Amino acid sequence: MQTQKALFMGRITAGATHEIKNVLAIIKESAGLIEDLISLGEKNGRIPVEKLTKTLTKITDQVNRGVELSTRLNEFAHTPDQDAAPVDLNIAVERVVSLSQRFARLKRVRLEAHRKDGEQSVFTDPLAFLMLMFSGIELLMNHVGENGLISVEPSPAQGDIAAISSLPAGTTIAMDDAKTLMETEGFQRVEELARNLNMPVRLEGPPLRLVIAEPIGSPV
Amino acid sequence: MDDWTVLLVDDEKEFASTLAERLNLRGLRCETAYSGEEAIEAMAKNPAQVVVLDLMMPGMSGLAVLEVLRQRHPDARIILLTGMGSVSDGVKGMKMGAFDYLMKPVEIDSLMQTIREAMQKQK
Repeated sequence: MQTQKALFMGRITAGATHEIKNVLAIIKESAGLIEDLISLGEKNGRIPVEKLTKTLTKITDQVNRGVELSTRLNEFAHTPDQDAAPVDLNIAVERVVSLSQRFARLKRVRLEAHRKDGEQSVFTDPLAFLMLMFSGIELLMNHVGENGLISVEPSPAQGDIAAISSLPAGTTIAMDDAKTLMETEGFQRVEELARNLNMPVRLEGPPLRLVIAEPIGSPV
Repeated sequence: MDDWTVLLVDDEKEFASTLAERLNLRGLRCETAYSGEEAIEAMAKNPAQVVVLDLMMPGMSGLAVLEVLRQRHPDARIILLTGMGSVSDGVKGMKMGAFDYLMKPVEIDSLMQTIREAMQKQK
């Protein structure tokens, strides 16, 4: 389990830092463009104020994006601080969706987090729970196809703590989707992670939906 | 350099458009494409002499795009942009016929220099 956790942290960190590097690259080029424009303006006596303002706005937007990314990454880095703790499901869903966005974009899949009113929480291993949700998202992302939609929702029903739903872009949904997917290595991985947390998982559909139920018995 | 066209391919639109603008200010004619598929389409319509290609993109990977471009536009010089984690892909790309590879974030002067060298080899 420790190795799996380390690999998971590595994957998420690599994805997030790649995004941060992209943000910095945009800031770098934008700052470079401002320098270019000023230097050109000094030569021809015409400073393109509108263009400069637009580029500065671009920098501000990217700084905000970078702050958001690094905040998420920092929160994620603190996830393993406790082996077991109450996990706010709204926050956990938001966090895993935010950290998975890059993976979704690479697969051209849309990924959304939903919120539920009121405080919903589960007592569990916070990092292992994020890992379980990420594996579920990845499983459905690999299956939904380009331009499909994955949505993650906390406490979808009594006794369930999270649901990951998929909606393919096309209109054809194979009837044996859930059965086929249950035989894949990806689902077996999800099942194994869920077993470690005593959380039953089930695959419903079509359209495919992975539901994680409340842990059975004593807290992990 | 007036007749030289460069196609810059990167899925980070803000990055590609800003870098393209900087290259244009330096006298190049630089177009942008935001995916591998878009790049192949753009090359079919209006072939560029030099393609600056990001390796990690959604959909077709940079290496897959490189393979198609090498077949369809053997004269085009392709410069790869790689991230920290994909240096091995840069090396693989060189073996597949890329002109060079540069690490992101790239210095504008070294990119210009590499583009110039590619143009000279192209002539």
